[in-house]
Amino acid sequence: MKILEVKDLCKSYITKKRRNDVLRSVSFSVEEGEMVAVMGPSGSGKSTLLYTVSGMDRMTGGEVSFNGKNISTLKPNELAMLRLDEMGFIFQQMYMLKNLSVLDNIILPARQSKANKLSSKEKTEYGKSLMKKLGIIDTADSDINEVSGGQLQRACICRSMINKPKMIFADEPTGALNRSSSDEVMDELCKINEEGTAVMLVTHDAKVAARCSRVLYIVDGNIKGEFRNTEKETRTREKNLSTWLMEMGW
Amino acid sequence: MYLSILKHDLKRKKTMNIILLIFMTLSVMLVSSSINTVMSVASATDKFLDISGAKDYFVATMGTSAEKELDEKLNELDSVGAVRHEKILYLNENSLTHNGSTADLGSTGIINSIDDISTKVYTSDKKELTQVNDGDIYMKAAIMEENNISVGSKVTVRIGGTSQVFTVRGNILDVLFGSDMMGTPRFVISRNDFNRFYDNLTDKKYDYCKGLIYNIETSNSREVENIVSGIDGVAFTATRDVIKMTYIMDMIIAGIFLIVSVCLIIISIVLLRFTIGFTIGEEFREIGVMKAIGIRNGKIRTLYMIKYLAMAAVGAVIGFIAGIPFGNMLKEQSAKKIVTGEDSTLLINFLCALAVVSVIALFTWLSTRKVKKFTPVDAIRNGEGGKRYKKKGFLKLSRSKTRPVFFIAVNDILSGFRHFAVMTVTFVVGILLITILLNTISTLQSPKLMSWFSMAECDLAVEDKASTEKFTDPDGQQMRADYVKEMEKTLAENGIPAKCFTENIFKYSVQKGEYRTVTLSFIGTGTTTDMYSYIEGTPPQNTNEIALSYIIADRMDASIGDTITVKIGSEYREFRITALYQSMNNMGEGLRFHEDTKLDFSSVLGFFSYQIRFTDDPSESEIRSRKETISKLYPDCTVRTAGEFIQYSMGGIADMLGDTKNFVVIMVMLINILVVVLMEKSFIAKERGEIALMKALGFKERTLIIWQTLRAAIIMALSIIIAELLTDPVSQITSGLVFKMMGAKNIVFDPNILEAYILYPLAVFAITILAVVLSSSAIRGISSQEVNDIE
Repeated sequence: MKILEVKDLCKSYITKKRRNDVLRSVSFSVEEGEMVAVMGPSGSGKSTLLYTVSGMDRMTGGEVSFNGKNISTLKPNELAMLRLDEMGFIFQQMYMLKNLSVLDNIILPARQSKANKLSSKEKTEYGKSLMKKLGIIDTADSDINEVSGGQLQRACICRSMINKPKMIFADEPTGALNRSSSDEVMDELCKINEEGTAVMLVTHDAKVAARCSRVLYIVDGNIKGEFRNTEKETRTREKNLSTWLMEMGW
Repeated sequence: MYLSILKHDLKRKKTMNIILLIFMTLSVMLVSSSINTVMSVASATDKFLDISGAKDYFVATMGTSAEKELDEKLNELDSVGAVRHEKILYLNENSLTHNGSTADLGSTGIINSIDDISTKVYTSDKKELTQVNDGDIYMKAAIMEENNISVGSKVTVRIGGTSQVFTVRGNILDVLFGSDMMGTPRFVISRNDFNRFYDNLTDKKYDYCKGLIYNIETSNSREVENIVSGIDGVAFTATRDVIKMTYIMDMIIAGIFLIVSVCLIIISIVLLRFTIGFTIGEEFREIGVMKAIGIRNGKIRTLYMIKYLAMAAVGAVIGFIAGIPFGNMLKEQSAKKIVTGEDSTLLINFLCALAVVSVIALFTWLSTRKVKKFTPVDAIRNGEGGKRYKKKGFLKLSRSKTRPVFFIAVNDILSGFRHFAVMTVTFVVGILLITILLNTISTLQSPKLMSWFSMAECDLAVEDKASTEKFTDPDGQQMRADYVKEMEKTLAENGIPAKCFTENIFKYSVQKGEYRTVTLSFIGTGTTTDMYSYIEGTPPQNTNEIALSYIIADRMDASIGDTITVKIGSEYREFRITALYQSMNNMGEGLRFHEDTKLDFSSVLGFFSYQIRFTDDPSESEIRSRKETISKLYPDCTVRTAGEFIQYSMGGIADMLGDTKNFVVIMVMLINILVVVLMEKSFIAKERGEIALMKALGFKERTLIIWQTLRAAIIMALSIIIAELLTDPVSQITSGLVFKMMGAKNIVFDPNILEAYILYPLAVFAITILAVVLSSSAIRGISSQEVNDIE
């Protein structure tokens, strides 16, 4: 069953002098429990695609349906609620509220959500359990400037999971991490995906994309190609993806 | 390059720069105009005394008995130079009628001939009055306003058996009797008209209507006071300083404007510090690049200096220009009753503008010291030198059950209170200004003030304008006691159980050793001495005991237990001081006899209203109803509640402060609006990333506006609490000093709690929060995807 369905999605930025069509009639879908990577050269529209389909940015044309709801018709407050209760986000910058501890940052969306019916205490416990699962429980009471980048990105993953979303959107989640931290973060994302949460991530890293079941290659606002990785063995997955990417002009 | 960086900065932070410029302009404008006003008013009273021909010591006699002795004794003193006399006639409460009804003079008035007057008087357009035609009259503006008398109105003056109709030609500015605090109003007529009244007073019983004002040049006022004190028939004495003191309210108004200005300067400087700090924080990357390519710290600091100095210069020019008409308006308002002459204020305005610019320059230089602390790498890497390992949060959302938005707001304040310091300082100072003013006004209108005017507290005051004529008699004391008893009886017959009493005022000479002075002296009719308030000692219990105001006690170096001599008529009587009290009569003068002390009422100076204290503790509405009944029983009298009586007595001062209060409230609101708009713009610019993140996480815009508003609301609420806690102590050291100068040193303010502590702060709160809500709506312009633009 499709969790995300995108039809003829267009996004243009109009400045004083010219019109910039960033996305040109993009269509694709994501199945429940699927893990999709979006790749492409800089300025191809990857991040715009991610933000538009997740309702963080308004589309210029087309239709996006998330979990059966047409997000192009939703009002800003309804979109906000959708993001809060049904989506999770991970950003490259591991951005968090600087006056809150790591745990508080993680449970913040849960405390704000009305759909999440757990008590405050249960929400905190769930946040802690996620931190334990991702191996960062020791940092719960730390300030965000006291932990490493890898720990912080795992905390961001915890935050994205706190309201048990149907899908996680990640914009270059490993972009600011070293290889070892990057691998750890991807391990966690894959685990989450294996537990049934769909993931759509934007990346420049072929090694990261190789861990996804499907890769969309976008150029000049169009999906130029789609690669399904069916191999089990990691090296083979990476090799196959690299070959395909070279064909795409990567 | 500098120019292009500056241009970029001015464009990018347009709103903040404009607000900062407004503050700089306002600072210069208010500082220059306020200092100008204070300097002008401070010197104006001296100047007014000088150009009016007022000398060093002033005496008014009542009756003709004192003149010869006073002239002789003044002649004997080496310290006395020129002495000028002016003949006066005293007007009692019934002497002036307008449109068939008696005009309210507030107190005993005096009337002069323009040709005989020893101190010049001026018309309302501040030109010297040199001639008055027969049949014309000039008077104090307050008397005209109080009695709806306008230029051209006809009034009738009656003294003794003579009466004459006059045409009012205008109001006069009069250095001796023109201030609000000087109760005695002066009327000026022609020599012919004056002589007609004077010459017709041949009957000895009208002798008390005649008098002289002595305008004495002396190098030793104390010596003159000593000899004047020993002479009967002296109704009024004042040194030059006392006359200056009567213009204190004009000085206070100017002082309030000065305080507002100082507050504005403080706020401007704190704001400046915040803005510079903020700008440097925002520009750290550029600063890092500049440092990395070898631009010296001094050059970088110069860049900011140029920016703020340029803004300060623009603000100074606009403020300087705007300060001239504003200062003139202020001076005119503060010195309505003073002839100031033409002053050159431009130099003061220029110096003030220069001072404000210098403060801004100095402060900018000091604030940019931070640039030196950054290394190029720190700056380029977003380093905030050492901040990275500083603990931020104190509270934990995970341990709190409050709504996240409220939690974040509180946590933000606790985590970085210094960011909210500007708001806190502004709000506290603003609310404090308002509450102090309101406290002062309500105290000046409080019925409790009666005790500071040598009166016992009561429910109603009945003013009988005919008292002077009725009771100025050797047996007046008994007659007045009988009248009060009769009044109680009349009230009882009408179902009103009440105690009636009144005050009788004399002017007596008192002496202790070498010290001698003249003071207002009080004796109650129908009261006992324990009905009054004292600050020390016990009320006089016997006729040989007396209470003194602490000002008179200080003047004579007397204290409780000492014996003083009071000259009553031709008799010298000794009294033991048993208590000290505070009084606001005649700048703190006062002496209270025991009620059984026998005094000759033919030399009485005046009578206060009859006072009525109900003995059955009636409600407010019942008091109002009884007031109506008593008005009908005494149709020739004016009946007032205690509150109305004090408002009537202090009306001018309280009204003047009321106008100033309105100005201050508007200023405070404007300042708050400007500050919160500036702060909100800064916060939103600084927290752009966090706002974008919260939007991305699913926080609604409304929630984010509530978050921003809550912080300001918490700071405002906190500031109101701090300001209200500070109100009494700060009132004591500000307006308390004014009361002290007027004679009351133990001030217990009587605030109108609802108005001062709830309504006004709430109004300021509401306006401020509205400004926060409107300015934080800029959050709507931030997109959730901007989370990736965070540096």
